Amino acid sequence: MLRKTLVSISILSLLIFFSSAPAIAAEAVKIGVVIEMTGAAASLGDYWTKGVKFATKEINDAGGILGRPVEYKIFDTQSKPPISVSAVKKALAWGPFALSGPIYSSSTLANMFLSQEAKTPQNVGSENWRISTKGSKYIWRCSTQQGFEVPKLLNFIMSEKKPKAMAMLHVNNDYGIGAMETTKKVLKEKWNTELVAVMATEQKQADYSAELTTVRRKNVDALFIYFLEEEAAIVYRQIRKMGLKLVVFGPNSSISEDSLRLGKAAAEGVYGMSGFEYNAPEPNCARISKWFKKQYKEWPDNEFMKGYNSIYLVKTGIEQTGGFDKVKYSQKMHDIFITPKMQKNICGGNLYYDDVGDLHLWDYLVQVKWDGTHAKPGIVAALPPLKGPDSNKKTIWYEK
Amino acid sequence: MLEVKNLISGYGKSEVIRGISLEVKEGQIVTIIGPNGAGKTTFFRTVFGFLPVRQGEILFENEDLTKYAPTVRVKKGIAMVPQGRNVFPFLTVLENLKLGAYTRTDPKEVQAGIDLAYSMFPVLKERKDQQAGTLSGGEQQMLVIARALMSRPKFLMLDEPSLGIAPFLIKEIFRTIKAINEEQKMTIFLVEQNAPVALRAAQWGYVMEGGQIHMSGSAQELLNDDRVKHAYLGKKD
Amino acid sequence: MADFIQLLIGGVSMGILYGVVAIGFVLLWQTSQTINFAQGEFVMVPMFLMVALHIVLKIPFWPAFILMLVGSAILGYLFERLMVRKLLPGGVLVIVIATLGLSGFLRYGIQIAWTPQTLFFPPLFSTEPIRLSGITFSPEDIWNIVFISVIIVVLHLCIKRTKLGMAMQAVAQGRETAELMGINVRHIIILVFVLNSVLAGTAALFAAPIFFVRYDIGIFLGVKAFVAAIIGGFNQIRGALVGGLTVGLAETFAAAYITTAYRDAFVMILLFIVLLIKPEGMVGIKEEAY
Repeated sequence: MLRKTLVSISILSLLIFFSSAPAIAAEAVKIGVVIEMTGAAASLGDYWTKGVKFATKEINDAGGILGRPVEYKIFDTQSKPPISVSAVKKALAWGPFALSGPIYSSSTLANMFLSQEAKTPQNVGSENWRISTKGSKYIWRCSTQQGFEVPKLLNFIMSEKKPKAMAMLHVNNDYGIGAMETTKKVLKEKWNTELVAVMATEQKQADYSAELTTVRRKNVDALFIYFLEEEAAIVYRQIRKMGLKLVVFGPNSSISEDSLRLGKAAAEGVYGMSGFEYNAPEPNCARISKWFKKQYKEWPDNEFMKGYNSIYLVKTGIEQTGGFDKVKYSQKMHDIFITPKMQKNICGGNLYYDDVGDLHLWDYLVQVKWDGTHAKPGIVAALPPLKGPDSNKKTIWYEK
Repeated sequence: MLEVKNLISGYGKSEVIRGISLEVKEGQIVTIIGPNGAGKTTFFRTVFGFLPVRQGEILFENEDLTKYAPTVRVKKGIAMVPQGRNVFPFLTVLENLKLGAYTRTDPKEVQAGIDLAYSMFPVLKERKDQQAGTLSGGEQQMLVIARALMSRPKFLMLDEPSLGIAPFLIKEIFRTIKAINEEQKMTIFLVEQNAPVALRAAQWGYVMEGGQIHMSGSAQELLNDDRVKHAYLGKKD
Repeated sequence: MADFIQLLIGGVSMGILYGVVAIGFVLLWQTSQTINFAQGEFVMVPMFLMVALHIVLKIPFWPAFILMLVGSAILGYLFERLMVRKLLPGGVLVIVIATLGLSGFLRYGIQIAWTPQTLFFPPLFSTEPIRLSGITFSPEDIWNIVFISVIIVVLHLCIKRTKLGMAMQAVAQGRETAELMGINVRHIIILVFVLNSVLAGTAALFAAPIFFVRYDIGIFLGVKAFVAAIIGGFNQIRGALVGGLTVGLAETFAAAYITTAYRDAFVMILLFIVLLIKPEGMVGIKEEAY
């Protein structure tokens, strides 16, 4: 009996020793994850952190970054800009090499000056165009920003669908207002036309009958919806309930897994665009999505890929500079063309980061298909980036 | 029927009832008279169970009541009409009466009770569908008494039934109280500031002051007692 | 005109949901002077319960619904026994703070224990549009309005016509007087708390397909219902209903005819106007009347 106990204790202590040994051996690359764990965007934050977690595990299993393990710590922004500022402060006080998140544009706009002051790279999931105009050399996007996303999307809708009357519904925050401003500008400058109706809606709004009644009254045949996931799904249901027949399109949130899971049949036919799709013909997205599906029994939202990439970006920067100098990192990571050859696990194919940290990559144009039980993103085309080495390539059509 | 022994009770730190012993015999009308602030209402509330007993016993038909909640005391056959006309203001007169019979289950008996109440106080029948809050003070007092009778109590406690009521109505209410006592053989225990009216209706009386019983005797004796005359009956009688 | 009726349907179908949740505020306030800021969570928790029973455990709809109501009832019972009864002697403010805490506890409890994701709940009725001379509506909207109306009417009749309902009114109008009648006030209060949470559970069933099931939906519903109860009248069941419909219609019409961006602001303006002109609410009764 005593022998047995002794043996088990020694095995246990050996296990503890070996499992914790690598962490003690080298100083970790610390990444502060400043993210929406609670509040309106908690669901997105959850996908993002799952991406962070998976990337970290993958990197550490493969020996870390230049031999050092990655360690992350989560700081909740509660989906509120003021809280995100204190979250970033707390994260910076922890002494990280880089920050990952947040997602909400309003939060990033509020806290990005902190990472700039601290000269600490911050990889955000926000898409508001203003972020790139603030002059920070320490902000990188994990997806296409509105200033490039909206023109690509409108280009497709205007030239392929030729709508007579287009209206826009947008959520009344920096994310939605930014998109509305870009849309007005692009329609005027490139297509010499205007939106027939623009309606700002509250976050968490549950009833859109007023907005959709206006849409019907103005004979709108193309409706641009710039919402977050749940609201998008709710509005799809109500469009269906009102029997409106029109082209509905939106950014990646409108065709992301969360919108489709909730919208179901009502989401059928909706157009959207995203750089990351689980069923896109891009091996890394497909690979990590399969892992996600196995782990969590559902397909991931694109925030998962963005969170995943936010960690691999840090790895790329450190490896490219060959050390842990944040200033050199910042110089190296601007005007950089990251290919799968350079960073084999990173998602999204060829990624070009310009001089303000905006990401340019191939975006997938998607139309939602309904198979009777699930709404799925059907890949229609791959649209080349507007800037960078791939910008002169042609649209690849998968179905037309 | 009711026997109280060395009762002590009060609110918070203050002791209001400071050792009261008294007895109410079956079939009688017994009254407690005393000045404002003597502790009459506190005493009644303690007997009914709204206030906890600190010391002493309350025996009803030789059973100790102190362990029972007020609702159980209602089932034992005790009813109380509190001071201040506590009608349910947004319910009709009829609904108020029906609630008085809450502990009764036989609808026929309930109906009989309502009929009896109407015969005692015909005005209630006229007003039966009116919200109780809109009745006059005297009508509300009648309703509260009628409602208390709906549970068919053996023992009826009345706290200041004459308070704030026009003199001609006071007479009518006391006539009814006497009638209930005589016709239904109901024991009635009442506290009153209006000593002459109360003593004329009662058979036995207690004088309470400062939370203690100062004097007791038959109602007739008290009416004739000089001290009582001086202190409570005033000159007008 | 067609637009007007369209908006009317939209406004009423939201408003009646706010109303049914607001009734809970009124019930608790009347019988036990409790303002329950976790009222929205009393809708949210049954939503998750229904998902757990019906979708995760695949229990057929009706048994799942009944189990969900039982679960709601237990929640209401525990709320009264473990929280309100202990804290009420401390006054309304203590209860308000405690229920705010409870609201956060339930919300983040669900988020941590289950999911921060929004979950799908299948529609109870068809959502295929029906067209009728320029108006389009779905059976879902109409049936929601009909069923919730029926529930409210039945509740109203139970309170007005049954012995227990009368006892509830008695407790609301005079707790001690009710005790004089031999009414067990404790039991009635427990009954009201259970009734409130069962009502909230029923509302959850109708709300789940429309709002989806999310851990923080309670804040939205709770605030809307609270405002509705104040606008309509905190001491009247019909006040809650009138308030709910007013909020629903004000939101919809303000969004359609003024601006969509600040629809909540119009409801708040309405709230201020009501508080200034008729503080007891649109159909409320002045408390001084007691």
